[in-house]
Amino acid sequence: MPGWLPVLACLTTGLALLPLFYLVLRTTDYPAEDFYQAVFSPRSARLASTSLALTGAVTALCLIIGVGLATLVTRTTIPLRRTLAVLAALPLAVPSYVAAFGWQSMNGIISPGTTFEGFTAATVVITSVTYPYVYLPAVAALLRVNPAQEEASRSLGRGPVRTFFSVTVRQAAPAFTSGGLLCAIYVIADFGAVSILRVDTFTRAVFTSFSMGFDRLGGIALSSVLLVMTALVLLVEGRLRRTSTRYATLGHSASSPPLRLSLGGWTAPALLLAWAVVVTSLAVPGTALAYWSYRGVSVPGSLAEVATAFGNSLWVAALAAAATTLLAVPLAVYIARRPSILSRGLERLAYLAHSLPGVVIGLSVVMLGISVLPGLYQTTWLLVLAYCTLMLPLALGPAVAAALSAPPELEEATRALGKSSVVAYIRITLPLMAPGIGSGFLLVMLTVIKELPATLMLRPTGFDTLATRLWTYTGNESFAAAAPFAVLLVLLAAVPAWLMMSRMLKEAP
Amino acid sequence: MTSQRTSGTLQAENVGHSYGSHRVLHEVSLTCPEGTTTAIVGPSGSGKSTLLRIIAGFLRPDSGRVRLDNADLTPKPAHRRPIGLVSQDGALFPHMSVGKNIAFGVPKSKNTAQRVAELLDLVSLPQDYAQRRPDQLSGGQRQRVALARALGRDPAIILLDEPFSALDAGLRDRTRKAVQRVLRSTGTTALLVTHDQDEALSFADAVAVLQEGQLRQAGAPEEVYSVPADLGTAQFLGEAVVLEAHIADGRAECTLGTVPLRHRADNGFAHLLLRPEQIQVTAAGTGVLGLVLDADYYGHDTTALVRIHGGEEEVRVRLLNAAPLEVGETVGLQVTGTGVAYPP
Repeated sequence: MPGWLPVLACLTTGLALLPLFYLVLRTTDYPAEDFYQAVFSPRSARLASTSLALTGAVTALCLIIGVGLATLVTRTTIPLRRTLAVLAALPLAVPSYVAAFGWQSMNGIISPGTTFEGFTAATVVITSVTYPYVYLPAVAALLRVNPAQEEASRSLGRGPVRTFFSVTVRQAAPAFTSGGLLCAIYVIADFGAVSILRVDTFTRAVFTSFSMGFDRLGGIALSSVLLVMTALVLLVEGRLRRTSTRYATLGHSASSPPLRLSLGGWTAPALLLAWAVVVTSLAVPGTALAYWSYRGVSVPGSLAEVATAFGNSLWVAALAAAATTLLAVPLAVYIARRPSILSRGLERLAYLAHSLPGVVIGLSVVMLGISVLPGLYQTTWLLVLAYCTLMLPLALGPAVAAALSAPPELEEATRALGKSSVVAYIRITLPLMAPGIGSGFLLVMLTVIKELPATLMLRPTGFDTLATRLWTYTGNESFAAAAPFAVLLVLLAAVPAWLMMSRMLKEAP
Repeated sequence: MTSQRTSGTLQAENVGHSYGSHRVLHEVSLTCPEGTTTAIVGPSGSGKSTLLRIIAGFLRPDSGRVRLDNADLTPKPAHRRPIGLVSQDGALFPHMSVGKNIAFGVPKSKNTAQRVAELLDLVSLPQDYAQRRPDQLSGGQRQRVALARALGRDPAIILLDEPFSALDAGLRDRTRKAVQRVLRSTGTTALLVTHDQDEALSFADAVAVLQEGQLRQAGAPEEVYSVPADLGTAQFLGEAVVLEAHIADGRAECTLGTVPLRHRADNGFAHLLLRPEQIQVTAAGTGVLGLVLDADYYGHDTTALVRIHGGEEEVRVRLLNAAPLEVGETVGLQVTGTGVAYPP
C-alpha cells in the first residue's frame, strides 16, 4: 500500500485548515490569567447572555415551525400540501443579511421614521431563514419511519394520534433535535443579520475587536469561546445523527404510503398558520427586493458598479473553489479508500472549521497575515485561504461520495496490469470522481459568493463583491442602491439551497 | 398460559376492492375457524396483501364485510379490532428495547413485567433479551419478538404477512416451526399470507389459493394439492404433469396407460393431472417406455424429463432415493395413485 496518500492528504488538509490551527496556537500567546480574564469579563458575560438568548429563542422557534410544518406536509391531509412542502424550504435561499436588509427596508416603507432593529427583530428575521434547517431533516425523518411500525402500533390497540406521538415522533425526534442544533450553529455563527439589526453577539464583538483598533487578546478570547461552543454543539449533533441512522436500519420496507391524519376542524387554523409563516418568510424579503430594485434602476451608474462587483465575486469564488477542490481531493480519496482514525479525525476537523463563524476564521487569517505572511496580507491569496478553511467540507462531501462509488476493484485491476497506485488513482479513480468533484466545486463557488464576514475582513482595499456592496449600502440605509446586489445574491444562493434541499429530502426513501 | 385468550372465528364476506380502475379483489369470501391456521397463498399481485390489510383495518373494502364471531368489524378502525399483526420485517420499534416492544400492547391492567417474561418464554427467547435493542437481533429473533408483541394484547386473530420471506432458507424453516408451535400451544386463530406454496401447504390447517383477485379454492392442504380446482391452481401449487386423456367408466386412458380417477368425470376427452412423484421408474422393460431427455440429481431426489415412446408427450418424474438417471437412457414408467380429470 502506498504511504504517500496519507502524507499528501495530511499536507493538503493541513494547509486548508491552517487558520484553525493558527488560532489555537495563538491562544497560548498570553498568560493564563490574562486569557481567563478576557474570557470571563463582564463584557463577555453580557455578550454570552445575548448570544445564548438569541440562539435559544431562534432555535426554539425553528423547532416549533420546522417540526410543525414537516408534520403537516408529511402526516396530515392538509390541502395543497405539496405546494406548501416546496415553498416552506425556499427561505433557505435567502442569506440572513439579505433577509435583514429586506425586513429593515420594508419597515422603512411601511412606517418611516421607526427603526427595525434589536433582539426581537433579529429573532424574527433569523428564524424566518433558519427554520428550513429543522424542516428539511424533519420531513426526511418523518418519511423514513416505516409505515409497518405504525400499523403494528395500530394493531396493538393505539389510535392514530397516540401512534403518531409514541412511535412516529419518537423515532424522528433525534432528527428534529439535530436540526435544531444545526440552527443553533447557524445562529451562533451569524454575523450579517445581527450586525445590520444591531444586536451585540459574540460574532459582532469579534468583528468589532478587529475593526476598532484590533484588540488581539479580546478577539482571540471571544473566538475561542465560539470555537468551544460550536465544537460542543457539533459533538451532540453527531451523536444524535448516529442514533437516527441506527433507527433507519430497521425501517426499510416502505410497502405502503405513510399514514396521514385527518385534521378535521383543525384544518382551517393549521392552514392559516402554516401559510402565514411561509408567506411572511418569503414575501417580506421578496417584496422589498422587488420594490427597491424598481427604485434602484433609476440610480445612474449603478449598472457598472453591479457588473464590477459581480465580476469580482465570480473571480474570487472561482479561485476559492479551485483551491478548495484541489486541497479536498487527496483527503476525499484517503477517507474513501483508507478509513482510519486519522482520516476520520481530519474529516471532523474540516466540519468543525466549516461550522465556525466566518469572523473567527477571518480574524485568525488576519493575524496570520500580519505576523507570518506580511507579503500576502490584503491580497486575494489570504482571502482564498480563509475560504478554503470555511468551505472544505462542501468540496469534500461530494468528492468522498464519488470516490466511494468508484469501485476499488478497478484500481486493483489497474495495478494487476502493472501500473503503480499513483497511475491507478490518476487515470482511473479521478476521472470517475469527476462529477462529484465538479458539483463540490460549484457548491463552494456559490457559497463563497454569499460569504460576508471573512470577505469584509480580508478583501484587498478597494475590492468589492456583491456581499460587501450590499453590506455597505444597507449600512447607510441606501436601500435602493443595495437592492440589485441582494437580488443577484438570492438568485445565486438559490442553487446551493436547492442542492441541499434535494440532498436532505433524498435521505428519505 | 395464564391469559384467557378469546380466540374467534374470522369471516371475510364478499370482500371486493379496487385501486382506481384496477380491481384487485373480486368478492372474496373466506372463513378461518377458531383455533386453526389458514394460509392465503398466491403469486405477487394476486390481492392477498390487500385482503390482509382489509381484515386488519388499514384499508376499507369497496364492498363486503369482515366479521369476527359474527360481530361486524368493517366499520371499526384498526386499533379497535382485536387483531394482531406480524409483518414481513417484524416492524419492531427501533427506539424501544425488546421488552418495551413486547409490553407495547399489553393491557394496563396486567402485570406487564410478568407478561413480558411469559411472552419471551413462549417464543423461546432468553429473559435477558428484554434489554436488547431490536437492531441487535437476528432476523429470526426479530420475528419471534414481533409475534410475542402481537400476542401480548391477547388478540382473537393473528395475521402473519409474509413473516418468513426475509429470512434465509435454514432460519426460515426453524422460525416457521417455532411460530407454528407457539400458535398451536396457545390455540390462536391465525391467517398467514405467503407467496410460497410449500410454506402454505406445510404451515396451515387450511390453504386458500388467491389468483388475480379471485379465490380459486380453499380447503385442507392435501385436498388443494391433490384435487386442485383447476389446472392453473394445480400448476401454482407445485409441478404438474398434464396429459391428454380419454375418460371412460371412471378411468383415464393416456400415454402412460390406464389411470384410475379420484372423482367421477364425464366420458370423453379431458386433461389428466398427475404429480411428478406419482410416476415411478420401473425395472427396465416393464410399463410404458420413455427416453430420458434431461435429469437433475439433487441427492434426496432426482427429477427427470422423459419423452414417452411413440408420441410427442413429455412428462416430468420425481424419484426418491434413486440412482442418477442417464440422459439418453430408456426407462419404464408406471403411474401410482389416482389422477384428476379436467374438462378441456
